[in-house]
Amino acid sequence: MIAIYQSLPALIEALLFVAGAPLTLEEICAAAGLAPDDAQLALQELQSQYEGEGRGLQVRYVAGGYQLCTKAEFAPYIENLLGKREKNTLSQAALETLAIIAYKQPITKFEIENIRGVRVDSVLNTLMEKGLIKEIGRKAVPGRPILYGTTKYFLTAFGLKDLEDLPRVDKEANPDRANKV
Amino acid sequence: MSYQVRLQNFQGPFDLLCHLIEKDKIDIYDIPIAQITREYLEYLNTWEDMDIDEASEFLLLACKLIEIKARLLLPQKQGVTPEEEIIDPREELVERLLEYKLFRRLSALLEEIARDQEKIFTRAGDDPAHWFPEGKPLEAVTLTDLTEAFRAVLQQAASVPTIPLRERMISIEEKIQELRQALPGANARLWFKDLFTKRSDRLDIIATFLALLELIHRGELKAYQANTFGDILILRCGE
Repeated sequence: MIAIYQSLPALIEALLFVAGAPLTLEEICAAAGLAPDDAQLALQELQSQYEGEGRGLQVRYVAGGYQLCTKAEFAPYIENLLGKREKNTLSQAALETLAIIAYKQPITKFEIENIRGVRVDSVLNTLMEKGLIKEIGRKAVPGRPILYGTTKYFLTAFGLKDLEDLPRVDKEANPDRANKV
Repeated sequence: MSYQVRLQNFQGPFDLLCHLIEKDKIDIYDIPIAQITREYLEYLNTWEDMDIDEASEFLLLACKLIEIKARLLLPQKQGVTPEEEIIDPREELVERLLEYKLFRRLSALLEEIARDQEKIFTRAGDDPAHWFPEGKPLEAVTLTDLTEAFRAVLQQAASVPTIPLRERMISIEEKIQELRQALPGANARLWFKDLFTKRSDRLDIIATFLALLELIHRGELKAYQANTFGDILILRCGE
């Protein structure tokens, strides 16, 4: 029994290596023929094995799944190997729009424009092309406007576990509010 | 002003307004509208090759600022009870500014975590297509799939009964015959509103009405109306 448990982290490691993309717990269980509890334990064991100094990889939980990836401190060397990666940074306009969609989804174009005070048509196209947002339905109001939301890739690209994992801003900590008598 | 900031650098009217408020260290809850409007318009004036699409968004906020100033100048309504709070015309603007500022900060946070993510590499690389099947909507779709789908749509379209649209001809003579049938013998009577069913369209109604007038003219029918806009009783005259 103990022997089996010792080999489980190795089995999951193999699965994560081949997948590349985040694997959900269900996918791991289905492939390994494991009960969720056992898979979870094995994942924890694998994660703690990687935590040590002797390893260049880590198992992170992102976008609802587990993924094998490099540790951040080796980024400069990886860039030496692969060449500086193409800077895929978003413009300020795209970031603002993405933030509004991420925190307020589902949201219509009109509602986004109301917050930003500018038209967002081209920005929405850019975000769609990058696979960060998608149409997730239509609002039940006259004109049935398209509702936008973020994609799973958005979570992965920003290293988020799920939407609850988005950074929060404490409204009360807003410096402007302190001025109010 | 010793330096000039090109308007194009601002993400929009709210961005510019936030910049002015921060620059002057203004309390956002007590914005001196006249001062901020003046500065706002000064910025607009430095904008040379104005793109009307972009400019209109900035001008809209300028109008809003002037409107707020105008409302501030109007005397407050007299006899306001203490419970009725006097609404500051600036309130809506302040709320929108605060919301905008909140998202500006959130977008900065997002950018930060995106930076951190750039240091982490995976086997899947950075190509969203690896993780995001929706990104390649036509992947794994063959030409046969498309033609099949198209055929299915065509079949579906064919199964919907189509009605050839033709101009409908309604003769008054036809309607006269119908009226005669509806009022078969001498002294037969009918309420005018009962002449029409829900299915009657405008053309039917007009033709029936003309037929009715014609029959009254010929002396075959008589019409009685008790009061203005009241229902009309139609009576078949004796032979």
